[in-house]
Amino acid sequence: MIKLENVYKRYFTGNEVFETLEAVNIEILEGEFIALTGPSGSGKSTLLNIIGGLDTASEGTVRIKNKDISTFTDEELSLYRNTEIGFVFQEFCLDPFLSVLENVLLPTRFSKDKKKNTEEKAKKLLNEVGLLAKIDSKIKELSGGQKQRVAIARALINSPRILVADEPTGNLDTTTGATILDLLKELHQTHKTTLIIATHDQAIAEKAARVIKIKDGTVRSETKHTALSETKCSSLHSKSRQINLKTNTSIVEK
Amino acid sequence: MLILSIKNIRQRKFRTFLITLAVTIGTMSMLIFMGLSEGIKKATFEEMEKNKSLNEITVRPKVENSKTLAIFKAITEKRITKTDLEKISNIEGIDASYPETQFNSITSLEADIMGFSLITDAMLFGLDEGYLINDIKIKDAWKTTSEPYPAIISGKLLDIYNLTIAVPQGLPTVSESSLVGKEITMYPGYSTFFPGLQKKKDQIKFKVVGFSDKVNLIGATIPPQILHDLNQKYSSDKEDKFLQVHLMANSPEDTPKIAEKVQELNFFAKYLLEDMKTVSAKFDYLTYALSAISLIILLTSSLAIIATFLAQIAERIKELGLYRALGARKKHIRHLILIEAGLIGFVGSVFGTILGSLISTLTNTYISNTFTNLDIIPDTFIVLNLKTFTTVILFGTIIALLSAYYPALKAGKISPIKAISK
Repeated sequence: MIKLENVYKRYFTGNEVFETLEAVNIEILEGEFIALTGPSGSGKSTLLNIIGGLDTASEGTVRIKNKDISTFTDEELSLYRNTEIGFVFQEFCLDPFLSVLENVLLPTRFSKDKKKNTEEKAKKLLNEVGLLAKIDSKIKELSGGQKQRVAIARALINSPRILVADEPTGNLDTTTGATILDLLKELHQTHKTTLIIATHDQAIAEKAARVIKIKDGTVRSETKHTALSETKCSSLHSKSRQINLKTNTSIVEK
Repeated sequence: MLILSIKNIRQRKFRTFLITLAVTIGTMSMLIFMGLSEGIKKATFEEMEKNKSLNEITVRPKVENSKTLAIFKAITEKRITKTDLEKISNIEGIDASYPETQFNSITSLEADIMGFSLITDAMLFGLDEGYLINDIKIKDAWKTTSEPYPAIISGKLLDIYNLTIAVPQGLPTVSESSLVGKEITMYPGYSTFFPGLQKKKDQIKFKVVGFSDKVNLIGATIPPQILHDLNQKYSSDKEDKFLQVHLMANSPEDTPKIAEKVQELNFFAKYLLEDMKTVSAKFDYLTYALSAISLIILLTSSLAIIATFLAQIAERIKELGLYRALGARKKHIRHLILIEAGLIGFVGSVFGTILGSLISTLTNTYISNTFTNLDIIPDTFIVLNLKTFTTVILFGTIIALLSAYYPALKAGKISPIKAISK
C-alpha cells in the first residue's frame, strides 16, 4: 500500500545541505500498525510528514496505492491529505475558536464531495473516543488527554486509509498516554486503517506490529512482533533478512 | 467556509472592529460626498425649474458674438416684431405664448425697505397674467387699472439683498411675504446716474403683488396694457416692442422640436431640457472631483484593511497551516479570507451608510433651521437616494474584497508543514 523507494530529504541553509533522510526504502501493507522509532532529529517525523503529504521528498518515489505522491500537484496533495490521511499531532493542533464537534467536522469543510450525515458520523466518533458529553465544549475546557481524543476523532472523520500520529502521547502523562495508545490501536482495528506512529518511547513501539528504527536519516533496523501482528505481514524489501524464531520477532539489520 | 468565516469574524473581535471602522469611515465619507454632489445638482435644477418650467421655450432675437450681453444688444439692435410673433406662435405644439414688452424710456424706482429709502435706475417689463399666475399673491391684482398699479419683483433681488446687505451688516433679513403689498414709486425720465436726467417730474405708484424667479432681475414687471399706456405717455418711441417671447409647449418632449423650428425662423431659442443637459455635463466634473476625494479616503481605509489582514495572517499561520494539513486547498484559504473581508466590508458599508445618513439628516436640519429666509440655500443640502446607498455599499464591499486579495494570496501560500512545526 505504501512504498518508499530511495527517498531523500535535503534542507538547504545557505551553502550547507542537511540530509534528514537518506536512501530510505520502506514498504507498509494495508492495515499494518507501524512504529517509527529513533532519537530526536533522527528523521522519523520528516518521514511521517512525507507519507502524510505534508512534506515532499527531495528525491525518490513515495507510492501510495501505486500512485507516486511525490509527483502530485499542491491541489492533489491537499485532496490526498483530506481523504486518505488522518493526522494526530503531539501538540493536538485543534482550533481553539471551534467547539469539540466543529473541530471534528473541520476536515469535512474542505472535502470536495460534501457527504451527508457528517455530523452524525462526528457524534459517533466522539462516542467512540468517549467525548460525546463534551460535544459543545470549548477546547480550552478540555484536558490534554481529551484534546488528543478530539484530534483522533477528527483524524477519522473522512474515513482515511492511513492514520499517522506524530508522538501522540508526547504531551500526556504516562497513564493518559497509555489510554490514548490503546484507543488508537482499538480504532485502527475497528476502522481497519493503517496506523503509523512516530515515537521515541520504546513502550509504545512494543505495541506496534512492526518497528522501523531510524537513525541519522536512514532505516537502521526493522523489528516485527509476529504475535501482535494480526494483519498480512509486510514483504520487507531488504535483500538480507534474518529471522529470530526464539524471540517471536524477526529482525532485519540494515 | 462561510461558517468558518463567520466564526473567525466573531472570535477576532478587535480585528473585525478595526476593519469595520475603516470601511465605515470610508463609506460614510463617500456617501456624504455623493449626497452633497447630488444635493447641489438637485438644488441647481430646482432653481432652474423655478425660473422656467420644463415645457417653456424662451425666444430671443439672434445676436452674434455675444452671450452675456445678448439681452441688452437685443434691446438696442434687434427686436421681435408683431409679424415675427405671429409666425412663432403658429408653430405646432405650442399651447400658449407670452410676449415680454419693455418700457422704452429711462426710469427709476424707489422703495422703503426696513426704514431705508432705496432708489435706483431700473427697467419696466410687461408680461401677461397667464405667465405669472402662480406668483401673483393678491387675487385679481393684475386686472387693476388705477394707481397703485400691480408689480412683480424678481425673487433673486431679495436673495441679493439678504446675502449682500442684511447678513454682512447684521440687519434683519426680509422675506417675500413681508414685502407683498409694499408700495414702489416710479419716476419716468429720472436717472440716478445720468446728470442731465436728475429731475423728478411725475411719479407713478406701484404695489408689490408677488415675487417671481421667472421675471427680469433688473426692474419690475407689470401688466402689458399698463406698460403700453406708460410708453404712450412717456416714451419717444411709442411702439410696443418684444424683448423676448415665452412659449409654453404642450409637453416637455415637444420643446426640442419647437426650438428647432424657432431657430429655422432665425431666432435664438432656449429651453430647460437643453440647459439641464449642459449643466448636468458640468456637474459631472464636480461629481468626479468629489468621487476622487471619496476614493482617496476609501484607499486610505483600504491600506488599513491590508495592514490589519496581513498582521492577522501572520498571527494565524498555525491555524491556517492546520487547515492546509487537514486538506484545505490554497483556494479554500483564499476564500476564507475573502469571505471574511467581504462580510466585514458589507457590514462596515451598511454602518457607513447609516452613519452617513444620520450626519446628512442632521446637516440638512441644521441648515434649513439656520438659514430660514435664504431661498438660495436649498432645504436638502445633502440628497441621498437608493442609488447612492447601493453604490456606496457595493463600493465598500468591493474595496474590502480587493484590499484583502493580496493578504488572501499570501495566506494561501502558507506551508502546512512549516505552520504545524511552529
